[in-house]
Amino acid sequence: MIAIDLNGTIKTFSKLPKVWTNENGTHLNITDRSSYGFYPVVIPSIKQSEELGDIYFDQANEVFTYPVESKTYSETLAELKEQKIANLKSLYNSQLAKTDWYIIRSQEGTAAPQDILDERTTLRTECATHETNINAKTTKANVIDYELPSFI
Amino acid sequence: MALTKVTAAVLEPTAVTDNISNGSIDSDKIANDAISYAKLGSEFTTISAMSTDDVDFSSAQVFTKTLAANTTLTFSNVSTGMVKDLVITGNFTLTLPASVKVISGTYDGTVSNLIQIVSTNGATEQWASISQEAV
Repeated sequence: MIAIDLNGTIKTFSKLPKVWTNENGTHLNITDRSSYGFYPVVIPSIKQSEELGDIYFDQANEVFTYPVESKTYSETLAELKEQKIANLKSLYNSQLAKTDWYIIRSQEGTAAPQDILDERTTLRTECATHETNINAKTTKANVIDYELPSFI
Repeated sequence: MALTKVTAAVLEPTAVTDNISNGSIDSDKIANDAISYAKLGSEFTTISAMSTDDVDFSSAQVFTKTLAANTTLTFSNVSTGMVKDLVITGNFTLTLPASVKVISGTYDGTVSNLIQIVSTNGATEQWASISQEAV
């Protein structure tokens, strides 16, 4: 991505325009982009609890970039933890549900395989560990940024 | 019979410089289909290898140039309706006057480019289309 500052308004392009018209003329085949005011756009990587501000020109590095700003949350820390833990439990519940039928069948006399039982125990232990970790977080950003496992 | 068509103006010394009044050129003066390519002015028939960066619309029909550096062209003697052809190559930035609006095409410095300019409002506005040989 590339951008140019047009009298205070920064315009971005996916690539250097093939034709560029300004007060000096209609320019074709621009080979020296910076002499026309075009500079690359650097997009910082952000966490879930952050967002990008308005694009600006970083004079020192000669790039256009975005400030990284913290998101604000109306929920309390406790509420965010509650939401996170609810998501966590939903995830693990989905995993446990895959083998629930073994347990139901065991009620009817066919014992569930031990590896299945072990797997379910491991899932519960992992879930409890994550829950403990989430509860230990002391800032909203830390709770938001806590990565839940992916089972995909 | 032909003498009856000779006007007094023709016989006057000023005949060659006087304006021909509106509507006075009829088939008696120039027959239909009588103006051949050979009779056109050089601005419509010649090629100019540009040694400067000015495109003089009154000097040639086709202008050629190989860019050796970033180049800014200027236009002169542009009148509404004029159509000129620029054949330009060279992998540098080519700047046309701000009055030029590009309709279509992009400049490819690695090959010859035909840039056709049409003036739609004298020196104020021209439209350009850029094309290259099909490969």
